[in-house]
Amino acid sequence: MTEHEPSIDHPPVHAVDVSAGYRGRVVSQALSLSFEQGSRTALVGPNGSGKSTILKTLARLITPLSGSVCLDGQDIASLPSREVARRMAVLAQLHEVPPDLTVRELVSQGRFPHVGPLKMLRLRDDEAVQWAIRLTRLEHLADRSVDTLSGGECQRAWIALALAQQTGLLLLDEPTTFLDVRHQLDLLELITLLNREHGVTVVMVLHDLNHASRYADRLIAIADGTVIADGPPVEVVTPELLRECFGVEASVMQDPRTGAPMCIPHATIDAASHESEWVTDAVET
Amino acid sequence: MTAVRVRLALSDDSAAAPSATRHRRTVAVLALLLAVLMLLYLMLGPASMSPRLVVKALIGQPEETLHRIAVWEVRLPRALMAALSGAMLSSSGAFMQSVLRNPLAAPATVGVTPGAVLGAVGILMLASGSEGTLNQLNFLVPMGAIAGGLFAGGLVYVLSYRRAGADPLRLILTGVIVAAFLSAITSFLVLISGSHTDAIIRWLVGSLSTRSWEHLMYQLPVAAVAVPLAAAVIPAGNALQLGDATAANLGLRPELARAAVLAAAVVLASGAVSVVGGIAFLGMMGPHLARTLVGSDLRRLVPAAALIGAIVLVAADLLARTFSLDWLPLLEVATASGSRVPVGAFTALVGAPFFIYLMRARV
Repeated sequence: MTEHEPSIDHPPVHAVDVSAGYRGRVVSQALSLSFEQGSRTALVGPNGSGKSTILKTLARLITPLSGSVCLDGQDIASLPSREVARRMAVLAQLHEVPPDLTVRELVSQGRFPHVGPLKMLRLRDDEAVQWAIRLTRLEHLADRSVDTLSGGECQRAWIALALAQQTGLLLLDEPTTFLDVRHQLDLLELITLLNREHGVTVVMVLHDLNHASRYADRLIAIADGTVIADGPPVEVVTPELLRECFGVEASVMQDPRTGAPMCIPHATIDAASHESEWVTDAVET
Repeated sequence: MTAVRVRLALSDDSAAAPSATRHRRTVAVLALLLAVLMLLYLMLGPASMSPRLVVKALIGQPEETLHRIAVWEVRLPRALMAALSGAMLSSSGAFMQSVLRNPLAAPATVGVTPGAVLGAVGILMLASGSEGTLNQLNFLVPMGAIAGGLFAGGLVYVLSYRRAGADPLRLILTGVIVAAFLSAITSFLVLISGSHTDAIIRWLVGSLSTRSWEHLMYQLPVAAVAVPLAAAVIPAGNALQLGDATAANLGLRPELARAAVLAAAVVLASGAVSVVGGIAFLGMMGPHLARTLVGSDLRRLVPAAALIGAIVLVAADLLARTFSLDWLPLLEVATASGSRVPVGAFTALVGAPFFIYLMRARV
């Protein structure tokens, strides 16, 4: 099997008994997660909870300390990296943009996994690049230099690069950071469109719980590297979870327009009691 | 309402300028400029001749034997070496700046040029004690320079390597320190050297005087290796300038890719220095100039930087060949090899102020 065919037997991405972390520091242990075809999942959790590390491990940007991540049932470590890049696109949190690089030039880099290094030498604007630019509504900015764009436009250009990879799976690490509220919504709507209209499976790390519950079908709450809740937003976003996972007292109500749960945090829980709670938890498990 | 429509039309117009054709035209203009300069280079000199006479000499029907000697044996090899060395040095800088994501990166600042100069000077020093003939030196000095450049590049990489790899900032910092260290050794050698001092100084500054076809023949094999290598690493370099995470996302191994691009840059720079010596500023200035014209996509930046490097070095050497210190009435200078100023002095004298201007205008 050389060509990639989405199989029904295997979820697009699937982590088996994975320990994630960096040299000498385990962030998350014995993690097993599976993501269904066409789903939209948000990883949520407080700063330092390990959600980004878990996403990077799924994205093979970090090698798992043990266990394996499977892409369509195949161990990602045994696949050539370019082959993985044809099936999965990752938008990292931090990127570099050299001066005077146009949007079109940036987006065209997304073709690398498909055309390979030698054909990349030819400058051409293929259909996938045009499609990605059109979908992210960047046509009028295509020949502008990326470093002159606003934050929202810039982020759309990076999404366009990932789209030019034409993958069925998109992983995003805090894509809305540094954007104002309008551009946050704009970006999340774009991700929804990709998911609904083009069947792209989405796994993203989001900071804002309200955004997560509105724009994902499934939330995975992570604290201290462990999954403490996993399910549809209504089941996950509860006052208990907010207390346990984020250490805040909050009211949870229903968004009158979408029916998604909404939370309003109103007080932090005293650090000492929070810590003792963790200790009891650790003893119990 | 009308005002809005007019503004929209205007902004559409400026955005719709197809950058691809504009950049292609820029590269064509640069190539034409280089061709004109090369012709001028062949025409001008102690025995200046018309374009017609140059062409006749080139196609093997010179009107006088002197024309054949001036064009074929003196000017043409030197012009070709200036163009090739300038192109290699400047494109090397383009790769380094992109992959290390630092505008200060250049063959000279990361240690490759100082390493190559040390290699050449070392050979000259060793030869001064022995009975080496000039022919042997013609071969050994460029080889010493290439070995020195490759060694310095490898040393910087190895010294910056920690755990997962050699990160760009550490590479630059290590390069600067290694460059200073190797230059210090060269200075020491110059100080203790009894003979060859003039030849050594010309190597330090960069010079094309007394270069012949023989030197070009030593440089061509290096270019034959470096140019395809450079072309092959352009796409990887493009991915790497977007950050390691993006390069990894696109299916590259960032550490390996960076090592490959830097290796190509080191071979390019070593090959250039092996013939011209430690030319100042070109490796840093060429890519900056090119970037203002065609942007940062290496598929355009590398060819444009190569052309600009060739143009600058051919023009500078034309100046160096024609300008004589005798023209300065207040100076009574007489060096062993005449009153010609080495080309490296021109690139430094013109390059530094121009660079300051460019920085002030752009940043």
